[in-house]
Amino acid sequence: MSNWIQLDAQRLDQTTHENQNGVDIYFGLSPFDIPEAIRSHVDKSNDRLKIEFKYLDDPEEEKMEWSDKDSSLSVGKNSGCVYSISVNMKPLEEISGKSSLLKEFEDAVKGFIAEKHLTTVEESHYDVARKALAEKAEELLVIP
Amino acid sequence: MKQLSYYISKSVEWATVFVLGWVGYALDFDLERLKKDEFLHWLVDTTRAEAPKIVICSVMIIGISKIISWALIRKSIEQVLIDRNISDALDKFRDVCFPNLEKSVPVDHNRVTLFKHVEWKSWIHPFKGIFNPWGYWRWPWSGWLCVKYRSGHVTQGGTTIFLAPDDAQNSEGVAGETWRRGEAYRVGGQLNKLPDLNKDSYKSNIYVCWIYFLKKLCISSDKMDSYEILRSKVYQYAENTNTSPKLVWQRMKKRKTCPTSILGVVIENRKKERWGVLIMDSSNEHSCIDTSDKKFREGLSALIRELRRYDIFER
Repeated sequence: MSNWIQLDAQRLDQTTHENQNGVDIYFGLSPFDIPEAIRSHVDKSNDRLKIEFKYLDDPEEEKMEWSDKDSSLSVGKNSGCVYSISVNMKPLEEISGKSSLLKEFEDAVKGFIAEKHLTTVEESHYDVARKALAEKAEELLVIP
Repeated sequence: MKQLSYYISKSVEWATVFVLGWVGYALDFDLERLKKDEFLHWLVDTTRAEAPKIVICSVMIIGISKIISWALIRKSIEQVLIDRNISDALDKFRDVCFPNLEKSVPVDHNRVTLFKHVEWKSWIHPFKGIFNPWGYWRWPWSGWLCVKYRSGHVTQGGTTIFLAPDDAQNSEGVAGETWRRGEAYRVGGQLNKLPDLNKDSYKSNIYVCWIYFLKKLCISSDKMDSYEILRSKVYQYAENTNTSPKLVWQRMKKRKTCPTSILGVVIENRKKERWGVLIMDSSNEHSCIDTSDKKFREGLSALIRELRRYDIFER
């Protein structure tokens, strides 16, 4: 299993800024919902690349799982934080690694939303996970 | 268990006060008027006969209940030590949040406050309305954010409380808004802060009436202009902090500081269920550092670990 790769929270943060009557207002993800680190390893039982996200306070919340033939996603039931994504190794090898990894993630998220019928999904959680994946994809694809 | 015992003790105390009231009422009652109602006649008659014993017993019960209540709310040595450690942890986190503070800056100008969300709050002060202390169409069970711990050694006995109800659009204050959003929420940045009301003084109702009287007479004065400026600042402050102008006036009347920059972060337990809100407020030029700053994240992580050590989120 590879080591945790530290993420830059300032780059992942998507704080929105507004000016209300001359006063600055900022709102964005809670620091607890921005991943701290990311790592990848191959799950040999199903030949999938598993990418895990680590959060600030190491929570123990119940998770919702979604999977299809090519990917699976694990999301926190209460927080909506993405905890892990597993993708089939073959598409990664066939197509260019980084773009394929992101596509698999997008597909997994879409599948998850469709299956769970979540209409008010906190998209920012997926955005931050996607951003982290995009940033560290090359390092994640170097499988030990 | 401790809380249940406290409520039982308090209930007994109030029931005894009611009994004493009944004794006073019964002593003054005309028995001739109760001839038709046998039960009431018997009750009043017995009360009169046993009045001295009832009064003595009631006074003793009230006294014992008071002692029990006092013993139950009195902090144990362990609790005092826990509170001290948590206060130290909050002080350390305050130093992380406001790194450039000089030693001469009063501690109450830059604070870190932990608010706990409670479903039930039986008493709030000051009252939000004359006829309903909890506010219009609000009740003790409406959902509230109460101060649990605060950094520093001053402003510890504050009664600050914010409405954080199920109908979240009615939440109050930056704390309530943070609770509603479930994310980080900052009002007043490094450049454009909230209006500074700390150097302004409260204007009494008589003063305001006098100003409006002058206005009606079309008499212009500097006092009227300065009042209008202050009034607009108060309204602007209230709008941006999600509170009512009345609440801001109340703060000014009590000469409480009005922060110019407030940052809120929602706090969750291990299962990621919302527990409360952490508020970092500042009444000077030093605002809390950014939530994505590495130092802030490390400091917050250390604080949460410390709070978990004492099972704060399980209480």
